[in-house]
Amino acid sequence: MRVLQSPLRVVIVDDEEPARLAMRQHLDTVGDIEVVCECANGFEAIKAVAEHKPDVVLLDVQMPKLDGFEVLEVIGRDVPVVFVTAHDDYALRAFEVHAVDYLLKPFSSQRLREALERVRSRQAAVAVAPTVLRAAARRPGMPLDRVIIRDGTDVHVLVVGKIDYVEAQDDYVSFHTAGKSLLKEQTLSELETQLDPRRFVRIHRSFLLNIDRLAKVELYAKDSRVAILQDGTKLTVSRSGYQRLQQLL
Amino acid sequence: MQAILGSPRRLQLHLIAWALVGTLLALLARTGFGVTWPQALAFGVPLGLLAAPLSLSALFLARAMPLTRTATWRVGVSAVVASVIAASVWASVGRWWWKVLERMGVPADAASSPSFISLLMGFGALAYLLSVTVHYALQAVEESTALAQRELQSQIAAREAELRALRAQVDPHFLFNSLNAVSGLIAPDPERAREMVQRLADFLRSSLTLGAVPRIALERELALAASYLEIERVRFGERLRVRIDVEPGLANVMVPPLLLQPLVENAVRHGIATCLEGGTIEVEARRRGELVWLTVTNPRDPDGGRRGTGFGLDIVRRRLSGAYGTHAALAVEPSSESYRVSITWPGGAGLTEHAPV
Repeated sequence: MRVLQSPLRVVIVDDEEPARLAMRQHLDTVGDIEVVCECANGFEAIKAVAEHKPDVVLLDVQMPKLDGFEVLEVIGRDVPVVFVTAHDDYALRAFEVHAVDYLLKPFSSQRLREALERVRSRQAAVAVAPTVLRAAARRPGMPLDRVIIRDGTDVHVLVVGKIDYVEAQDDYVSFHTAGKSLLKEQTLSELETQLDPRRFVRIHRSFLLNIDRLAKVELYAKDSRVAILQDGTKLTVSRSGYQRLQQLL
Repeated sequence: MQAILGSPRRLQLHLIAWALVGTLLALLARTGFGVTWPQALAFGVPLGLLAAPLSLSALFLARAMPLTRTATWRVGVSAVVASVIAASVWASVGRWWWKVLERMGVPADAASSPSFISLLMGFGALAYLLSVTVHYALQAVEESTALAQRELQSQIAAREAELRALRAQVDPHFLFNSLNAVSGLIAPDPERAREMVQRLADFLRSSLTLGAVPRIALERELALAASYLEIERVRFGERLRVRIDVEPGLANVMVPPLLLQPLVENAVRHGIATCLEGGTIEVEARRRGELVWLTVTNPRDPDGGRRGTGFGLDIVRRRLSGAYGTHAALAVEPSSESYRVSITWPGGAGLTEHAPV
């Protein structure tokens, strides 16, 4: 007797139309699948996941604006992901973030069936630490060049060059950019290790400064300094922070 | 042989050297036999010049017995024997010449004195041995320059072949993505799938054959790029638009093969693929005086941040400098919303023919 099972609800994410077509046909062959949404980019994928709460996301890696790993950073704790890509060199990163499986294009229906079996048999999604997800979202050995920030259903892609400074706020960091600020759940120390140390300097326990924005440093009391940014913002500089700043300059 | 007879300039130098030897002989004759300067020169210089053709036998000796393949004693004995023979001939002529000059007032008894003959013999033998040494030295220099040149040429050829082979390698991800697209089209649109397979096969065949020749006509290179972009258009659809604008008369300009290919590949990978809405890749070719100027421009995501490793451009740059030295150049103009690569190379009249490497 067949165990009654509801069809697996799937979101397909790929920026190339023929690739989505291929995936749909493979899914037809596998059967017992409901494609709840097809997305042509990462933004649509994040919206679709929030909206449809699918059982699995079949996720391409190379896409404009947000790549697969950056999408995963945002949705990784909510839904299992199977990566689908022509590049075999992302496999290691994919398994670090506990992607359920990793399909190499072009793939067979049999291979897709196995991946989806793995999704079904998973009792509960393995919780992946957000730090691991974030670490995987950048290229190995390279400093972060953009930051992904989720703001309700919106996703902001912030190029690190546009950051003025970052401020620690309890379990969050606040990115200050052109007069606005964006909040992300992350510690300042973790962020500091991901950014380019030649560009971002920890001037204070609570502040990570983009060195390009610094106008001058002023002494305002004995052993106490303040950094003045080009837009006039003033940030406290600690004694050790001043040493780090001097080293960089 | 080339060392001396190869050019009029070398022959001149050779004769001047022997004329100087003749002058030296004249100096000896003047001090030894009490003749006037004009008489001494009239005797010495023609005799010196006579040594020029005689000494060429030293050249044949050096060529017949290369130092690297002949025992040293054999070279030594042969040189001494040859020098004695040559010096005897020379001394006899010298004596006869002196007798001729006697009619013009040169002291008559000198030519019969034993010191006269031994002077000519010794002088001639020494000069001959010296010229053997000079020929061997010239030979060694010539051989080492020829060797260095051959080595350099083979290095250049090897590097070019290596770079071309690197270029001829089709990006595997392009292949996998294209095959995946074909697999998606088979059921819903078999006609398009077939067309894509055909295009892919044509592209692969061309890039393999073009990679094997040193130069191709620009129009073939452009056709290859166009067929590549056609394939990518199947994947990217409306996101990829292409404008190719080539000035008339440039079709037959010669260019190293697969030079444009990495530029359009980069334009797709780092340009179109990073833009949500895609954009237009522009390929433009113009003549600027003696130079051909080819540019590839693509839009890119201002928030992209991620760029390639520059490996592809580096290969293009190295191949250009290998083929044209400092006459060719590659320039990159990045802006936040677009990226332009331009290459210039000499496409002058001589290069529009099927020029050798």
